Amino acid sequence: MQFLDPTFLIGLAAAGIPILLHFLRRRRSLRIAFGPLRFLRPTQERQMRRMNLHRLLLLLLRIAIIVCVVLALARPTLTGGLARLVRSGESSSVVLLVDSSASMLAQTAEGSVFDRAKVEAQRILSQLGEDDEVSILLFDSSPRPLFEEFLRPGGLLSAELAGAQARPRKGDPLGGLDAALDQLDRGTMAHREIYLLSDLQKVDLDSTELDRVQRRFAQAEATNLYLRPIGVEAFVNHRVVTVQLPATLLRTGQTAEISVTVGQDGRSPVREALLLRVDGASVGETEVSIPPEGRGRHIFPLTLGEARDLGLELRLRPDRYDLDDRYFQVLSVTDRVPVLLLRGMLEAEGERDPALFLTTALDPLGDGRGSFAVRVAPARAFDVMELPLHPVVIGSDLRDLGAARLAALRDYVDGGGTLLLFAGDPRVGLYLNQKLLAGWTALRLGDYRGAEQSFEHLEIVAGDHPIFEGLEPEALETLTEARLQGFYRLDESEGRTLLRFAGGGGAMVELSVGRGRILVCGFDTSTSAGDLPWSPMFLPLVQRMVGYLATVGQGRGQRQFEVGETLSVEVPMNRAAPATVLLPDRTRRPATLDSDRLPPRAILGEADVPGLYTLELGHEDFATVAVNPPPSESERRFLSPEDFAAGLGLGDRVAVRALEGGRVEDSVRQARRGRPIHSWFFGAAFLLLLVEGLVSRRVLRPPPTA
Amino acid sequence: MSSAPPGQLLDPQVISRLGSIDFIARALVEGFLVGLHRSPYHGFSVEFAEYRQYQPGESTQYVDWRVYAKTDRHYVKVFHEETNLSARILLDVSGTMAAHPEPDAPTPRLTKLDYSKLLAAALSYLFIKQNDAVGLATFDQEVLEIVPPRSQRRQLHRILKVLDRARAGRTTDVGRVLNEMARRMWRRGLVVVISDLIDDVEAVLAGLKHFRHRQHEVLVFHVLDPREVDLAFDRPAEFFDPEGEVESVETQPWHLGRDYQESVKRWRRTLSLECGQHRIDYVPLTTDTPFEMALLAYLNQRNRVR
Repeated sequence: MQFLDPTFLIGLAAAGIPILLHFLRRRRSLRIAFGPLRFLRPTQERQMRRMNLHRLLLLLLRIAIIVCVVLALARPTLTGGLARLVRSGESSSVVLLVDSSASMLAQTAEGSVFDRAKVEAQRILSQLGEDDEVSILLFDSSPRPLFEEFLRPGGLLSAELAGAQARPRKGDPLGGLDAALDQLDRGTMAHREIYLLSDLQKVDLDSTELDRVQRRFAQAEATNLYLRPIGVEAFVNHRVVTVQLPATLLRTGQTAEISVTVGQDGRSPVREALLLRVDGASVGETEVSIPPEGRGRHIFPLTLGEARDLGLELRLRPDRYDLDDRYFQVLSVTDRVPVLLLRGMLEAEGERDPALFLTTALDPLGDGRGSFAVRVAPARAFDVMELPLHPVVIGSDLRDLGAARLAALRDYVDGGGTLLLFAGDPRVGLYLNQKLLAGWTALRLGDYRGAEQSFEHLEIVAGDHPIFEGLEPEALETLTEARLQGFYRLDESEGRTLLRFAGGGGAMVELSVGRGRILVCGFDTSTSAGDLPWSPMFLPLVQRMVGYLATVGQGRGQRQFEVGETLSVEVPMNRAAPATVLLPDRTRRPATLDSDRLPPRAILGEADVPGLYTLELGHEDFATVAVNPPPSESERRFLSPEDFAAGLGLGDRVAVRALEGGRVEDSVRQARRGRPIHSWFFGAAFLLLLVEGLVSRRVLRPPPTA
Repeated sequence: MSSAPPGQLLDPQVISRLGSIDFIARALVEGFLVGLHRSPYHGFSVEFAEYRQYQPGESTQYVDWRVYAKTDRHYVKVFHEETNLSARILLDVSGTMAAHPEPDAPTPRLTKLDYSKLLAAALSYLFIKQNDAVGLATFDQEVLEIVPPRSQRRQLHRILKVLDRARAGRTTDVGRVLNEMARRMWRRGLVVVISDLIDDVEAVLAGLKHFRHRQHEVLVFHVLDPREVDLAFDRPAEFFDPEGEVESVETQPWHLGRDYQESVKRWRRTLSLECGQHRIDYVPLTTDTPFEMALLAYLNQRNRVR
C-alpha cells in the first residue's frame, strides 16, 4: 500500500487525542457518600473487568477511527499482489504516446526533454506485466508508431524507443490521442491504457478534432488515460520572433531594411547579441535590448546585389531551447518583374487604348530593360501556362476571357497569384460583376458614372499603404488633381479601400482571394476616362501597384515554410529538369517534378529541420525557401494535467489521471496497479464510528431510564 | 391545614418544610388521623363498651344481674381492654444514616436520619396521644442516649429534645446494640427500630430475634435512600463509605445498577422473610415514602398488640 498524499500522515499524531480524553474523562467522577457500599463492592468487582475491557475497546475504536480517517485523507492505494487480486489479473492493451514535437527538444540537465520522456517511457515499460501488449506512438504534427502492431513489453520495444528522435514540428496531442485510440482498437485485451508523456505545451484544442476524440473516447470501453507531464521546468527563453522584409519589389542595387523582432519570457530586461548572415556569411551583428516578457526590434540595412534569392539567417545566442534562436528568411532580389497584360480584342487604338498607357507606364523606354518585363496578350487567346510565370497579371479588358481561361485565372489567383483589374468601361464592369467576381469574391462594382457627366477627383484613403509609402505630399496632391469620368464606384464593404472618388465610392480596393491578391480599380487607363494617364503620377502609380503585387503574391514566390511541411516551388515548363535540393546540411537530394497540375511544381520533399533549402534546376540555383520551426512551440506555456484533462472534456467517461511528481514507476504502480482504497478507509471509519457509538452508549452513557 | 389532602401533608418533602420537629410530628399525626376518618379504635382505658346476649356455657362473671332483674334476660357486659403499652423507639444515628447520595439534586430529599427523626417524632406523638408510654434510644455502635418510656405529655418534649440533638457520625454496630438493648429491657412492650440496618444481616437479625425472645413486639422501619435502592445515577461516581469502613468504589453506576438492585432486593427479602418467621413487623421504607405508610404499619402492629 502506498499513499498519494503522505503529508496527511502527520495527522496520525491525532490518535493521541482519545488517549488524552480517556484519562481526562476518568477524573470527572462525582464523590458520593453511599451507605450500602458493601453491596456495591462485590458487584463492582465483577463488573470492573468487563468495564475496563469496554473502555479499552472504546479507546482502541477511537484511535482506529482517527487512524482510518487520516489514512483515507492520505489517499492510499493498494499495490503489489493484493492490487493484482483486486484487478482480477486482467491484462491491458497499452499505448505509450510520447510527445516528439519541437518543444520536447528543449535541453535539461539530463539531456533533452524528449530524452527524459524516453527514459520515463522505459520505466513505464518496466512496470507493465508480461501479459500486457504495448505499442509506442511518437507524435508531433503527425503520429509515428514505432511498430504497427502490439508487442509484449521487452527488449525490442526498448531498443526501438532508445533510437527514437524528436522532430522540430508542431505538437498535435489530439491527433496523437486519435492515433492511440486507433491503435487500441487493434488491441486484444479487455483493459485499455494510454500513457501520454508530454510537456503538455499549451495548444489550441481544435474543436473539430476535439469533438472527434471525445466521440472516440465515448465509444471506447474501459480506457484509462494517464498524463505524465515532463520537462515543464521554467527557464528564460529568448527567440527570434519574426523577420519582416520590405513589402515592395526588391531590386538590385537597392538597400533593403531587414526588420528583426526578438523576444524573451524572462522577468528582467536583457541585451542579446543578434547576428545576420546572408548565404552563410555574416553581414551584420548588433545587440538588442529586450524588455521583460517583451520584444525588441532591430533593423539591418542590406544592400542588394545580383537578382536572386538571398538566404537570410538571424541568429541569437543559443539557450536551452535553441530551435527558436535561429530564424531563416528568403529575400528575393529581382531585376525585372514579368507582367502579363491581358487586353481586349475590341479595344480602341491609340490614346483610347488603356493597355497602351499601361504598357508605356511599365516599360517607358520600350526597350525591355526596365523593371518590368511586360508581355501583352489577348484575353481570349493567351496561354494559361504563362500565368504561373508571371507574378502579376493585369486585366485591362477581360470581356473576351472565356470560361476556361476565366477558371484558370481564378485558380492562378487562388494559388497565390496577383491580379490588377481596371473597369472604366460599362461593358467591362458588367462582365466583371457577372462573370469574374460573381461567385468568387463578394466585391462588386457599384454605380457607373458615365463619361458625359462631370469629372471627379480622387482621394487617397490609405496613405500608409506601400503603394503610396515614401511619396512626397506634392506628388500625392498631383494624384488627387487628376480628373476622372466614366468610372465605377466600388463597394467599400469588402477589402481595403486605397483610393476613393470625391463623390463617394471606392476607386481602388485591395482584396485577398485564396492565397492571392486582387487590386481592383473602378476606372481605366484610357484618356477617354479622364486625364489620369497624363498625370505625372500615373507612371509611378502603375509601377508601384504592379511592384506591390509582385511582392505580396505567394504563388511561385512562397518562400516561408514550417518544419514538417512539404516544400514545393512553381517552376516554368521549359526548366523542369533536372531538379535537386540543396539541404541545410549542404547535402543534396533529388527533387521531384509534378507536371500533372498547372502550374508545374518542383517538390522538394518534407522539411525535417529548420534551415534554407535551395532548389537547383539544371545545376543552377532556381529558388531558395526558408524553413522554420512552428512559432507556437516557442511559447513555453504548459498546461497542467488537470487543465489538459479539463480541456479534453472527457468527463467521467474516461479515467484521466495525472502521474505527477516523484518517480514515474511509482506513479504508474499507484495509478495502474494501485487501486485507490481511500473509500475503504472512509467506510471503515464510518463503521467504526457506528460501533463506537454503540459501545460508548453502552459504556459511557447511562440508559435513558436511569 | 385540615382541609389539605392528607397524602400531601404526609409527603416527606412537604413535611420537611414545616418547621420545628414537634410541630411537624403533630402535623403528621393529626393529618394522618384526619385521613383515617372512622377510626376502629375507641380508646384504651377500662370502660364499658356494650351489652351482648349471654351464651350458654359462658362464664357468668360479666352477667349484668340488674338488667336481668329488669328484663328477665341474661346480658353480658363487654369492656374495652386497657393495653398498658410501653413502646421504645430505637433510632440509628450512625454515619450512614446521614449519607446523602444526591446532595446537588434540584429538590434534595431528606436524609435517612432526618426522615427517621421525623418518623420517630410522629410515632412518639401518636403514642402519647393514645396514652401509651413511649421511650427513645439513639445508637450507633453503642447506645448514645436513652429516654425511658413514659406516657405523660412532657415525655414528648423530652423525646423531641433528644431527637433534635441527635447527630450522625460514627460507625454502626446494629446487631450488638440491639442485643444490648434487648438485655436491658426487662419489661415487655413494643420495640420500634428505625435504621438503615447497614450491618451484618445475621447480627441484625440476631438482635431483633433477641427482642422477640424477650416477648417484645418488634416493628422494624428499614429506612433507605431511594438511590440506595436503585443506584440510579447517570454520572461516573466515586462512592465512599461515610463511616470509612469500606474502601471507596469508583465506577459508572449504570453498569452495576441491575446487580446492585438485585443485591439490595435480596437483602431486604432476607430481612423480610426472617422477620416474618419470627413475627417481627418489617417495614421497608425509602426517604420518599409518605409517612402514612409508616404510621399505618405502626397501627397494624398496635392492633395486633391489642
